[in-house]
Amino acid sequence: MKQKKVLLIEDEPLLIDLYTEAFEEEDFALMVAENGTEGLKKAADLPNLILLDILLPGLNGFEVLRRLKSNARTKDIPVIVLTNLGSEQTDKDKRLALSLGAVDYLVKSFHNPEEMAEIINKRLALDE
Amino acid sequence: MAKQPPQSEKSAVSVWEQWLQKLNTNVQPRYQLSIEQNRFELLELLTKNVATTPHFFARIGTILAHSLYADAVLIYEKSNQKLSPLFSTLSSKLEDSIMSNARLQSKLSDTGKSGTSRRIHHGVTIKASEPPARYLTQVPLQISPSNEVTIAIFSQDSLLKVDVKFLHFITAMMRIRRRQAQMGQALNSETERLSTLTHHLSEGLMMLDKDLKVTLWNRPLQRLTGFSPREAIGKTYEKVFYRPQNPQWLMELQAEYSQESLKNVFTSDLEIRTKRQERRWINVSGSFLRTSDGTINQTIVIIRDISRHKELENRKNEFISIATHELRTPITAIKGYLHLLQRDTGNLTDKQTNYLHRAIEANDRLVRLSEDLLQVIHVEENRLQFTLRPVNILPITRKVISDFTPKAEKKGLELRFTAPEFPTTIAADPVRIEQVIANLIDNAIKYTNHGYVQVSLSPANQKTSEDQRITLAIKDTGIGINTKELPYIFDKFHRLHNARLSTESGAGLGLFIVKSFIEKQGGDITVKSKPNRGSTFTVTFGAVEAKALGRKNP
Repeated sequence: MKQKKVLLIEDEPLLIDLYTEAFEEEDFALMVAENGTEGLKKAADLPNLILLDILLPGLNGFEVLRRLKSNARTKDIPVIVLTNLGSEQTDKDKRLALSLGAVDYLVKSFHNPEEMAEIINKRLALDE
Repeated sequence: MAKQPPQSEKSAVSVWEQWLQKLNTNVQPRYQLSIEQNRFELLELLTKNVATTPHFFARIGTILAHSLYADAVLIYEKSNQKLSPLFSTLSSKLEDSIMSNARLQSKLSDTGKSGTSRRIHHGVTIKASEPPARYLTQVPLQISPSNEVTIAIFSQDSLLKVDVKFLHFITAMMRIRRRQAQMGQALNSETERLSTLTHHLSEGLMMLDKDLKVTLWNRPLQRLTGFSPREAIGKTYEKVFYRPQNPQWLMELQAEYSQESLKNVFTSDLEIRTKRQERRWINVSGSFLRTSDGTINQTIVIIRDISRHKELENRKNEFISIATHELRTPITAIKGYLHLLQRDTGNLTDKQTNYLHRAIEANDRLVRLSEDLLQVIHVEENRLQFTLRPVNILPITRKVISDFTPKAEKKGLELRFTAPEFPTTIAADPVRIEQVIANLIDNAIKYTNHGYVQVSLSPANQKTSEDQRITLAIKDTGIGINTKELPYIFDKFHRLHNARLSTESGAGLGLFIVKSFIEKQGGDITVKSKPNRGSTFTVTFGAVEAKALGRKNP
C-alpha cells in the first residue's frame, strides 16, 4: 500500500520541529511548507490531508484554504485548520474555516501530538 | 407761665402754614383730567408694572394727587427710623423742612407702629395753630420687604370714605402686582439656573417624551453627536442616536424594564453614529419616569462619550489577544515535547516521572488560562454568538456528569444525580450551556474534599405550572465561600480567599464567564454558601418561548 502523505502548512519552527519529530513513527509521511505560497505549490503533489495554520506570513490560512478549494485539482483534499489564534469558542474563525470547506478546526495547544496523530489517522482512514 | 410749645413744634407749624399757602401752585393740572380719569390712569399704570424706582413713585404720586381731593402727596421711605422722601408734589424746600421737622416726622413715622401696618392711617389731625385743622392720611405700601414706603396725603378735610376705599384698593393692587413681579423674577432666575446647569454639565443630557421624542437636548450632546438642540428637539431618539445594527435600542431597553415595574434605572454602553456618520462609543444611563398607572411617560438619559475609554479597552484586549497567541506557540511546543518525553518514561526514575507529570499539569493550566483570557475578551467584545433553540438539558447534564465522574471518584467524592420526571426542554445554546454546566461541576469537585456533589434539575417555580422555567442546582459539601466574598464571586479575576488556600488552580475567570454565558442565554445564576458547609449554585434557564427561538444574540 502506498504511504499516505500529510502536508503541514506552518510557519513556526518550534511547531514544525515538534510535529516532524512526533509523527516520525506514524504511518503517514509529513511534508512541510513554511508559508502559504509554498503550501499551495506542494498541494499540487496531492497529499491525502492538509494541516493548515491560520496565521501565516503573506497569504493567510483562510486565503490559502479558499484557493485550495477553488482549484479543481486540490479541492477534494481534506483540510484541517489549525490555530492558536483566538479561542476554541470563537465561532467566527471556526465558522469561516468550515464554510470555506475545512473538515475540522483545532486549537493546537489543546491537543498533544498523540491526540493530533489520532485525529490525522482517523481522517486518513475515512477516505480509504 | 404759659407752657410754650417746643421750638421744633413751633417751626413745624410755621412750615405747615407756609406750605399750605403754596399748595395750589405746586399741584400742576394734568391736562385737565377729571378725578375719575386720573383714577383709571392710575389703575392702568398698576396693571402694567409695579416697581420701586423713583420714576415709578413719581408717576404714582403725581396721578394720585389728582385722583383725590388732596392738597399734596408725599412718598417717603423709612429705614432705621430715618425718613427720606422719594417723591412729593411739594417744593423741594418745603419737602426738606417737613422731613427735618421732628413733630411731623414723628407723625410720619407712626405708620407701622401699631403692627397693622397695612392700615391706612386716616384722619390724623395735624394741629397747626388752632384752627386750622389739617388732615394727614398715611398709606403704607407693602411692596418690598426691605424698605417701608409710605404715601402721605395732605388734605384740607378728612378724606371721603370712598377715597379711602380707593386707596385700599390701590395699595392692595400694588402689593399683589409687586409679589407677582417678584415671583416672576424668582422664576426667571430658577429657569436660568436650570438652563445653566443643563448646558454646562460635562455630560450630555437628554429628555424624551412618551413617544420617545427629544424634549431636552443640552450643548454637550451637540459636541458629541453633531446635532444642535434645534435639530434634535422633536426628533425621535433613533435619529439622533443612530445605531445601524440596532436602531430601536431604547425601545428594547424600555421593554426590558417595563416588565419589572420597580426597575427604573438603566445603564448601557452603545456604539452610535454621529451626524457625520462617525462612530462613537457612548455610555447611557438614565431613568424612566412613570405615571401612576405604571406606564413610562418620560425618559431622562445622561450620555457620556466613552470612545477614548473603549479605544483603550480595545487596545488592551488586542494586546491580551496577541500576547496570548504569542504565548500559545511555546506552550504548545512544551506540551508536545512533554508528551513525547512521557511516551518513554521507562528511562526515567519515579521521581523524574513525577516531575514530568507536574510539568504537564502546570502547562495544561497555562493552556486553560490562555483560553479563559480569550473568552473573557470575546465576552466583553460581544464576539461570541449565542443561538438559542429548544434544547433538552437532561442528556447534556448526563454527559457532563459522566465526563466528571472519574475526577470525582479520584478525590473520593460521590457525584450524585437523579433524573427528573418532567420535560426538561429549555431555550439555550447547546454548546455554551454544556460549558456552563461543566464549569460549575468542575468547580464543585475542585473545592470539595469530603462528601458529595449533588446535581439536580427542578421546575423553577413549584407553585405554578405556568412557569415553564427549569433550574439546575449544583450542591457541594466543600469549603464554601465567605459571606464577605459572596457578592464578588462572579467578578472578573476574583479568586476566593479559600480558593487561594486550596491546592487547586484557576485564574478566577471561570465564574465570570459562566455568569456572562448564562445571562446571554436569558438565564440567571445565584449562589448560597456557608464556609465549611458547602455551596449551592442555582442556574435558572430561560423558558422556551416562541420569541426566544432562533433569536441571535449579538
